[in-house]
Amino acid sequence: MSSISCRNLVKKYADLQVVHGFDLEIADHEFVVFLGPSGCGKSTIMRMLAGLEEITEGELHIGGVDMTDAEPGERGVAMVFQNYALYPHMNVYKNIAFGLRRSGLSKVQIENKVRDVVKMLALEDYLERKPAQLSGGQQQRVAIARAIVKTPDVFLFDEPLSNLDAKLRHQLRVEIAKLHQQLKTTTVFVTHDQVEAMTLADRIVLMNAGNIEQVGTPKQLYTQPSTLFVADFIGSPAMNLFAGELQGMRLVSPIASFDISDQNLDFSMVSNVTFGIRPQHLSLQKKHRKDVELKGVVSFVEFLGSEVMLTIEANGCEIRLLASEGEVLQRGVEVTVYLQLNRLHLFDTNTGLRLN
Amino acid sequence: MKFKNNLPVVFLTPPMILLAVLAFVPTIAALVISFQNKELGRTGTQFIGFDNYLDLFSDRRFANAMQVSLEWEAITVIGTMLLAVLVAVLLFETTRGRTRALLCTLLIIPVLLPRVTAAFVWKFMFNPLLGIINYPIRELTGAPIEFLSGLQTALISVAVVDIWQWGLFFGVILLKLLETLPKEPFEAAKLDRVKTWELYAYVAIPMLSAPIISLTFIKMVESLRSFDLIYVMTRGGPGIVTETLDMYAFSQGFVESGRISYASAMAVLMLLATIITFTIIFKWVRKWQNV
Repeated sequence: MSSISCRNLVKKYADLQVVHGFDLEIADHEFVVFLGPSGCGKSTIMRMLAGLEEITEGELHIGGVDMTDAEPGERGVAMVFQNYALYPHMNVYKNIAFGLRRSGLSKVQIENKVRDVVKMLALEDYLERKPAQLSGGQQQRVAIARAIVKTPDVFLFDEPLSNLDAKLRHQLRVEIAKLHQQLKTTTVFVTHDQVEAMTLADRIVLMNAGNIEQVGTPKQLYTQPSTLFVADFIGSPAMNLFAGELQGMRLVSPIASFDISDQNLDFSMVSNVTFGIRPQHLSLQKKHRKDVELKGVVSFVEFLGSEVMLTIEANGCEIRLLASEGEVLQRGVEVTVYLQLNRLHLFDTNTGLRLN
Repeated sequence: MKFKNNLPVVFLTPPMILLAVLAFVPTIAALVISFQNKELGRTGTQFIGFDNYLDLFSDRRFANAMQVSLEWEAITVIGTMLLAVLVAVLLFETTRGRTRALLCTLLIIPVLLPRVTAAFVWKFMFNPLLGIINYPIRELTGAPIEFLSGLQTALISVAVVDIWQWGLFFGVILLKLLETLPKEPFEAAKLDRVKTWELYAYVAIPMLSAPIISLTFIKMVESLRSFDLIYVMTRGGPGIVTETLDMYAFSQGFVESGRISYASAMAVLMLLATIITFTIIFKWVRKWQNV
């Protein structure tokens, strides 16, 4: 088990720079998730950690040892790939044992290790099967077993659940979380799925276009998004965002204008702002004395089960609100919406940085 | 609708007619002739039953031809496949992009040469007095090696030409197959601490086992048709060292004695042996692949 230290990692393909100085310290035992949209560089960085992509600039230390130019096999990492990457001509047992055969262990030792891991992942019945005879979920469990059996210092997961259907994805996600509780191996997990990130991570590294947008616990990212991008990316359903203007202590926007002197603001010169509020923090009942009132008409109703998503047209803008199932409303009904000001997110429109 | 139903018939009839004329007629004719005592330049042919076949079993030159044919198959098939794997891995590891494309084109050229042309080119290169291969040997040791007339070297030397033609070509095919393999198992193997040779021996080549077996079969069939190459380079010599079955049948039927019936019996036996051998190997491979 090991800490990981990335110092100003840069990746360039010829003239194209895809990672711009990536700095991150990952503590021993930590479960870190790299989250971001496709093409944000998260997989590239993971492959740089694994040694499958060359590091153009910067330094990488794993367990305090400089691994910048080390061969993949020497880094003490094990990786699980999105499309499993099993050896198609070997059966499950041989797939799991393959890495051990090169580590100088005796046949009996290898067999014991494989048996342990196979038991942990409930693969006992499939040892003789070839990968093509397994379902996607089983194949990925074999791949995880292959990674675990090497008792690596670091686990790398590269979107391991993306090829699975929703139910299996949830099941395997829980399994991965349990394994981490049990083994406590330092883990880096890449995904574009925020639910995976939120549920698994000790810390999330949210990335955009080769840069880190925010590093923090899932809760920090949700309650205190530090940029507009984070605010928009994290949370499902997505946050309502509206452009506005600061006039003294007043925020003026097409949908609503209100006093923001309560907010702990860092004003300085900013006039164009974007404010955001999550659909969960809008209500049809007044909850607080200072709630901002909005009159509107329900334009769309989505039934989600225990909750109902309402799209409401107010002052020529659309705002989305999550109501409880009991408040079933019809299209065209006039309603009053209450904005909880203490849940407001304020951003500088030009720089995208958080103001409150 | 009717036209659609007729389509298979329309397409299959011409090749079937062609096949009937070019393959079935000679095969049946050979079978019939093999039970006669037909000789070139002699009239009066009778059916003599299995006499030709019985004679063959006591013909030591026939036994020799059988052995040479087997050796030829083994050397050329194994040699071709080994060279192919070697070339493919070497190019896959060391080249990329345009260089690789250019090398591939160059490596395909030998197989594009007509066999007779290739045979003449190499015969000239092997020549003890004028050949380019013997030039450095003569300079170093003072005496050239008589590749094509040496008892030990003749068969190997002819096989080299065959392997040169097909091994390089198959190498290019294998290279293209390697390019189609998914990258991830390679990367997983790198993380599993494999050395480069292990990567190919344990991961890449086994992943290509199905096409490699197909290529081996193709080469086995192709190697049976070595007549032109051997005919140009050694004519079965020195003595009968490179006399394969088809060479012997040819010389019995046309060159030495004109014993058409005897040669036909040989051809029929060759046909039977080929069918039986290939059926067995085919079934064996299928069984092995399913395990």
